[in-house]
Amino acid sequence: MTAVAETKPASGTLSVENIVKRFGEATALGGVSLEIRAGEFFTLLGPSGCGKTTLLRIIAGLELADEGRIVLLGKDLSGLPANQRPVNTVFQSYALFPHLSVYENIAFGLRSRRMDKAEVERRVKYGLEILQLEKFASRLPHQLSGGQKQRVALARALVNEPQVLLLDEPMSALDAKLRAEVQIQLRRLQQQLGLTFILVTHDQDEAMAVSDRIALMRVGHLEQSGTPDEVYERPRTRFSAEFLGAANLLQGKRAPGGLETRFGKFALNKTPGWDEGSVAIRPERVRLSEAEPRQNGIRVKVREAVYRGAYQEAWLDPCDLRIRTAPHPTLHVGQELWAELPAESLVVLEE
Amino acid sequence: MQATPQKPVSSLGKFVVWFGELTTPSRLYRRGLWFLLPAVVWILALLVIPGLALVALSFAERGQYGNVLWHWNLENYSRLLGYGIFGWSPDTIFILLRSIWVAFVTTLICVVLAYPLAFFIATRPARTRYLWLALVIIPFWTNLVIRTYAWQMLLSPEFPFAKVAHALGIIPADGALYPSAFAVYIGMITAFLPFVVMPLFSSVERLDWSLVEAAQDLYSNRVRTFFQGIWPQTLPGLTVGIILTFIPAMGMFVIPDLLGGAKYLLVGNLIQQQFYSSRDYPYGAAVSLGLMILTLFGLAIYRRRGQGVELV
Repeated sequence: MTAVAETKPASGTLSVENIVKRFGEATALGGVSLEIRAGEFFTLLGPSGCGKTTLLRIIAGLELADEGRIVLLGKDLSGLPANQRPVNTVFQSYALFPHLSVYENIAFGLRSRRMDKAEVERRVKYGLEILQLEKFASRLPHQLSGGQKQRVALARALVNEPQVLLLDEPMSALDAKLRAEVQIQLRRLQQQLGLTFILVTHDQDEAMAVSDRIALMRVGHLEQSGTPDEVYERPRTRFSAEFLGAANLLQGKRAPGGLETRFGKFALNKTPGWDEGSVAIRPERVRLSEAEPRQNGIRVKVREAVYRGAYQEAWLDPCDLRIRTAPHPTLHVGQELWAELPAESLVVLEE
Repeated sequence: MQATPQKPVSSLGKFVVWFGELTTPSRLYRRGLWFLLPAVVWILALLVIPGLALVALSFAERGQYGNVLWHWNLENYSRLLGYGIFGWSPDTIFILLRSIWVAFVTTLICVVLAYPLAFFIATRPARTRYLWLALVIIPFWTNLVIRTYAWQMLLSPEFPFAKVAHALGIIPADGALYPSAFAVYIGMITAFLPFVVMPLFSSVERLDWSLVEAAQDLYSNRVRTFFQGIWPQTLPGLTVGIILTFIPAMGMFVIPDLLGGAKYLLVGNLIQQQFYSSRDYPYGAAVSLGLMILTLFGLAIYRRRGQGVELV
């Protein structure tokens, strides 16, 4: 983990213990357990409806769990209302108070706690400074751009010095270019402050860009968690493989030393635990060559080739293989060549 | 490629495209004037001209038979301020102050009642929400005079309300609850409640609850959550409701006439008397203008206090 995480005591963790949440008939969360370390940038990633926002709201105290506990620094938060929890939220819509200036919005939580004037001023000034909002202090929210509003929402939460900062898809309203910029700023801010951040997003690029660890969620369950490269390079299931980036799936039967498929036999580094199943390979891991490779080669024909500038993407017959490779030499439709699926890049998926 | 611009054939000047229609600014301008015409005629005929007539009338004099004599004087206004044949009396001033007071109390009670009601209705499931709203609106579809007579009956000695009031020692045996100030308030509040509930409901229905959550998340107690997370969002609806109640309540005469009788005269009754029984049109005009000035004054104060709040 990061240096920050190591310097914090182990007791600074947030434990999500077997949280169950039902909405009428539907089960939003079916027993989710997580351990989030102090000073960690943790991301709850998943498609819409997977329960990630519900889990965040339960941590914030804006929703009540049917079962399970939330424990922060060894203290059970379950019975505490939202206004007594040492956590703050950056809402998806920012939820800035439209009748209050930027300054007053940032001061809101401090004034709620009746902090003395000098302290309020000191903290608001600090908040305005770290998010470069000094110029906008007296503006009203409707006079701000989306990116500025987002920074105000962030400052408003941060000045309270929460134990955990919760971010509910804070970047979904920003355009792509600004989003990439804000991701880097957010990551830098988190490192600088050494705070625990929990981010909810459905954007896998965003999750990988900012997180120390990612928890991938699927219909109310935790599918897989780990560092971004663990989750990306070693997907445990087909869902993990397909949700995080693109993946080629190869189905077959277990054979001595590898996998028997329609397209031939492939060597694997790990023996599958099943008799029949799939393995995955990332498009950029497929190697192309003119000569037949020593093992794991398929004779392929380019069905479609797309030049993307920084790289090129192609779909190959006969196994519907998607690849991503250097932009040159340019592939052209109909070209025949060899594709190698290196054994170390073939990931055995659980059934 | 740029096409060679064609010279406009029309002599009307430059062409513009107005939502897909090719036209010229002068044509658009003329069309706009035609569209405005009906409204201008309406306002001139029914508001500006009668208003000016009222101003002129207020400086005239009543003839012996209720006719109008065009002798310009300020007599009506000095009467409005309480100067009569028998010297100064506070009666008219009292009536004016009482009207303001009644309108104020009516508005206040309507707001206090409408607030929880609007929240109750807006938070019902979509299926039953409009049913509840209809229950508020249906009485409002009934003629005001009929509703007011209905209150006369409900407050009469034969009905349980009066009996309960008697048992509590508020009124003598076989007494009625009307005519009285209480009856006037009952009539006024029930008449104006929908005018506050409806605009307030539309504000509450559109309430951004994430602001309430944000206030909670930022350590607010209930009171602070209400005044920072909810109250500012309901101000537009509340403002409309207050204006729709306060202004007509100031000039209301049906309800005080039927439920207040001579015991609780309001400025609306005073005006009505001048134009009917007393046939004193000039004085009636002066009282009307007095009421109008008071109302505008009240609105101006309200606007100044609610700076930045849109009135509609």
